Amino acid sequence: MQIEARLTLLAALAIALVSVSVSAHAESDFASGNGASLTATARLDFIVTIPRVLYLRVGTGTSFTSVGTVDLINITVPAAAVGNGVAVAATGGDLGAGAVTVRVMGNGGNITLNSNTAGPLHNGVAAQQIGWNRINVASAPLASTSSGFNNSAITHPAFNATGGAGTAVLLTASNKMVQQEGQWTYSYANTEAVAAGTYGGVGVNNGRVTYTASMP
Amino acid sequence: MKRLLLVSALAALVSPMAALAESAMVAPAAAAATAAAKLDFRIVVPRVLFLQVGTGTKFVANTGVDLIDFTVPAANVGDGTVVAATAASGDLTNGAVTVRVMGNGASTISLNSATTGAMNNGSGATVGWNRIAVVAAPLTAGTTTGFNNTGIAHPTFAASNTGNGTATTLNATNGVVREEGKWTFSYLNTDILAAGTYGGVNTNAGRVTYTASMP
Repeated sequence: MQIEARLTLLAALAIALVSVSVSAHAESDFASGNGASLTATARLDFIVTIPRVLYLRVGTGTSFTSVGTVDLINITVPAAAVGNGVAVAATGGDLGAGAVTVRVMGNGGNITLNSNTAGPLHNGVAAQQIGWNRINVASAPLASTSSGFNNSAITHPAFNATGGAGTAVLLTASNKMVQQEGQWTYSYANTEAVAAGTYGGVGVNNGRVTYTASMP
Repeated sequence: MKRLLLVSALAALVSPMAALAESAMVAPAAAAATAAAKLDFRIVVPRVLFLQVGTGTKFVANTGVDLIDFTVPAANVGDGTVVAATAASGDLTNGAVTVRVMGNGASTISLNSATTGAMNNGSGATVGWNRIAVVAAPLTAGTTTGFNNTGIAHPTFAASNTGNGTATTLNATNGVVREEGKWTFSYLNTDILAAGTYGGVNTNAGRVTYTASMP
């Protein structure tokens, strides 16, 4: 019984091999004759299929890899400077001092980049708020350029002060490709005195911004 | 055991990835694809309390004390004619001072006055603090950005002339008190008093201490 089963299996494999070899035949050409010059040609066709891909990085990330941890931009207002209109620099971000790497790559045409927040930052008391229009963002090129990327100041998609989608930025493709990188540095405008407390945070009190790259 | 060690080693290698911030790779990316990355923001604002009465700089401690100076005309001693302060009195002149309060740590701030006794002339004669009138009004030079420029009620001086007066309560809006205005002092001149100089620059009970309290 086992021998029969093995024979059946071998037969099936033989048929499969034959069918593969037939379908795998490439072009061949045979020339013969007594002439001085003979030529034989054989051709190959090539197809390279490139999938559509889209990559967005804001903060410390790995190129062309998804990672799920979120950077924190941390701002502490000095007691002597509450609401005095002097901007307060941040700490945090992968580049330090409130700066983050921004990198966008897509191969399907123009890409829009936008910011989105759930509402004004608050300190746990809903009425005690800091609008997102109090977060300044400076755009600049990275200190060094990644191979193949256009390293420039990517315009930050302006926050919606009261929450929701911001003002989208269009990244124009060249030959369907977008390969842009740069950095954003955040600071707090500190233009008004607000109630003491900790506004925003790690996924709380509306402290989270979601950036979205969209490729039609 | 070896497998456990291997798993531990792999976990150690993978764990640094968890420190990476967010990036997103979408491949293959269908039509209308999106990739999202997030950032968290945190702003820490400390509790602060600021009080200015007279000369001062916004949100900066200044130790200069203004003098409110009255000189009663000889022809009007005790005749009930209110006497204005001298032109040089107060940062706003003529007996007027700036009053500014800012605090961000409670729903109310209490503002009070305190005196150490009736003003005296060093020879036993006194003038009660109830003879000092105060008019509250908005600042005339304009409103400081972010402040509510109103007539802040003056905390009435202690009836006994000693200790705290009657506190004024300033209510916070969204956890912040930002009030400013001015007080203009005058002398009621209702009594005939012994000649002399009553009060002075931290002498003869001439100093008032204003205190803002934020629970």
